[in-house]
Amino acid sequence: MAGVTGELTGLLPTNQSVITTAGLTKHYGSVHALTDLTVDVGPGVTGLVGANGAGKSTLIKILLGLLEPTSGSASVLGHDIEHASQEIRRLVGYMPEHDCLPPDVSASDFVVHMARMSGLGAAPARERAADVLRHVGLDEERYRPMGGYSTGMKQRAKLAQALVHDPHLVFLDEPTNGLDPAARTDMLRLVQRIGSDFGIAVLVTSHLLGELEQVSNHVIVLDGGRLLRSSATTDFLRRTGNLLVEVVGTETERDRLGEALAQRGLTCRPRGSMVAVDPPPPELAEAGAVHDVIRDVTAELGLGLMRLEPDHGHLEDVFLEGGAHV
Amino acid sequence: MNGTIAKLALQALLGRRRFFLLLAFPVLLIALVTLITALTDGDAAFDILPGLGYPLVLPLVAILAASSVLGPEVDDGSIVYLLAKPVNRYVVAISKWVVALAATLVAGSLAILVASLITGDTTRALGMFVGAVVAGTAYSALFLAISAITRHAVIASLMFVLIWESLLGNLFTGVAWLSIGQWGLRVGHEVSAKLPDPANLTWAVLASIVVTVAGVWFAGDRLRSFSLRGED
Amino acid sequence: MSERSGVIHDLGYRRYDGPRDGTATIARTLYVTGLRHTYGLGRSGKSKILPFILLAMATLPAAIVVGVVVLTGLGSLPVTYADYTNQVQLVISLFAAAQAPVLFSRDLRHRSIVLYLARPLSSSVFAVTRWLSLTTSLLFFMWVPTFLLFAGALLAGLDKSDQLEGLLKAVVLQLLLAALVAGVTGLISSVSLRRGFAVVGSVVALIVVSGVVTSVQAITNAQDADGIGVAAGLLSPWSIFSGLADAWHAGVVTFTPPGSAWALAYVLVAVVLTALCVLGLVARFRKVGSR
Repeated sequence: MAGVTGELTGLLPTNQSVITTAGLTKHYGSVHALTDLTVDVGPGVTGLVGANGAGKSTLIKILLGLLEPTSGSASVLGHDIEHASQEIRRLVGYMPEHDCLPPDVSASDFVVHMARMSGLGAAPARERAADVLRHVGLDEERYRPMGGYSTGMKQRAKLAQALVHDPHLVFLDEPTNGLDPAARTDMLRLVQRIGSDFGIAVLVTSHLLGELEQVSNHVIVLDGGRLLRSSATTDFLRRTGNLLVEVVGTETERDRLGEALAQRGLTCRPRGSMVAVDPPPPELAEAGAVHDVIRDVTAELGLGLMRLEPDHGHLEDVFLEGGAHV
Repeated sequence: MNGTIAKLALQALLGRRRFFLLLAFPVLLIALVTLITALTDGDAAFDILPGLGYPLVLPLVAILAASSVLGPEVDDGSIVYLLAKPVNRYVVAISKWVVALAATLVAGSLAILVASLITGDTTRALGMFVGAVVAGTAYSALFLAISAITRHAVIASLMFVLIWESLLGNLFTGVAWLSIGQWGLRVGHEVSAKLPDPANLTWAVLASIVVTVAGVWFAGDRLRSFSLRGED
Repeated sequence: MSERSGVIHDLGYRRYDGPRDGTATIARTLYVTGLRHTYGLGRSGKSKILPFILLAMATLPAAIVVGVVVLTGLGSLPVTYADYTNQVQLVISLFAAAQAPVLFSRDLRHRSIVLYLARPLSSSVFAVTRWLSLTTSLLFFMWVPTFLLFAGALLAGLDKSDQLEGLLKAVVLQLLLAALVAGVTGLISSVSLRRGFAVVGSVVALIVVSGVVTSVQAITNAQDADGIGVAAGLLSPWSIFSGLADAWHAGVVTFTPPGSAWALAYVLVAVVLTALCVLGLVARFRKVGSR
């Protein structure tokens, strides 16, 4: 397929929609798992963010045909979920959040079996299983029963079975769950590689906002089953023009600094242990002027300056702002 | 004998669907015997007991009870928490056995007593009851030991009961010397001569005691060396 | 440092452009894998012990019978094909009770069913395929001794057409029985996920109920109330099997054989019950898969 950007050596033209939903709703009686969800997911890595119970897993299960929606429609890779569900399941891979590995089988045997269940022949299944297990980083462990695996190894095995049949799209539900920081970084790097190097579209969910900022091109934020925001990651992370200042000490020191800066004509407010300084008024707008002011004020007060950096947006802000901008 | 462990084992036994299955056995047995006694007469109904109740239902209840107090913990590995406590292994085994024994005696032996009484002939009923108590005790200890050895305790215990005691016991009379069911019947024969007389009384009593004690001791011993692997 | 042995090698990711099987072929692969698993093939060594011991126990008496017939030159088999299956019903029931959880409890217990259902196979095809695997497995279990007897009979020079007729009747009955037993034990195993309790449940359904029905039939026969006994025969797969075998003169003797109208009812009940069990299986798989 044509359509290659600098990053994606992929199967899909950059403008083709991978997942499209229209008014997707799933109610269990009085529990509203998803309400009127309308999103468009393109190729690359898309993050699906939300608290536990926000509807992330429900959305994935509906797209896979494991659950039926109460109303609304959706299509995955051009196939409608109501009529062409089987076609969809040929083309996608799924890495569930929960434990799903039988403990008495080795990763190697299991991934081969899953490859065959996806339609690969015996020999290609073995080859690809070996390949994919190497890609996810399971070496000799792959021959041991999965019951004895650590969480990290289990997550890798789950990922391997999702990739073994060369899908066009993978759903990764909380892939970093239960991993220690080093393993988490590994996994995130792997997810990024899947999206960029392997050329497979990825929908990855997490309730950890920071991770998804690093890894995804596009972020969809869900809250209580509703869409809160859906835009490119860069939109979220743009520099806001503010400055963040942090000094040694407690809130007392922070407040002293804040008042002193205010007296110099800078609008500022506390944020956590730091002081957020709004973009300066015209008098101080030359490059570096504000920084000099801050430096001088801190020195006058005898405080130790720890941090002086430009502020950029965070995903958290979306939750704090609330409302639905799409 | 540790009261807390026994209480926990009792809760495991009485919780959820398992309890209904355990209850189903005595209820159905008594219902069946009552029905047939009402339709025909006590003697015809009584035949169900040595044919079905005693050789099949009693051991099944013992298997269910023994595997309920030990099995699930071994299965999902939570047994390690129990073993990490400063409680003697054998005390753990005894505490669990007491609960399994109580369940077997109530749901198994007592049910057989009630069912036999319904068919009339009190002496015969008492004989049957005594036999069921002896056999039930030995069964529960044996199956507890088996539960501590293998994850496939139920099927192994079933094979012992169905193949060894029932099938082979019907074919070869020599098996009677090594069959818990026959020991129970022999002891019961002392109470009511209507019960069969398969082996030597001293042997039956001694063997039952030995199996009971050895079973519980062995269960305690095995609790020491538990390796939790994911194998089937 | 954790997971450092899992260094990701950058050897490039290869696409797969080769042929992919259709649903039918995938189902066939699943069917064969399931069938092998019931005999412990393709899994750990320990899981082969029980099925093969049971198979040996079911076949040994047949071998002895063949030996006796061939060596002493008897004019007919001491036991018919259908009756032999009836005599070893305990072993067959144990095999079904022990191996049904392998196919039906495991994937539900460990929730790997989700991984299957996220693939082209639907939950209905999955459940039906698993059921077919167990049915075939049971058929094989019953046919090894049956065909051993048949070979022995031919070897001893017994009348071919007689033996063939007996064999055919037995085979039809065994097909019906295997399908029903597979459905019942499969459903029980898919509901009670701990293997031990699934086994007890299956044993109750197959062995205890069977015993009860036989006792009831004996009693009603002695009391001249055969109708009740015949009706009671509907309650257990084995009593359906032996009842039909008696009605079709396949060499089994029961206390209360069904007349021709009842025999038809037996067949219908068996078929309907099997279908209900399979539908139950489909529902169970779909439900656990969506959780």
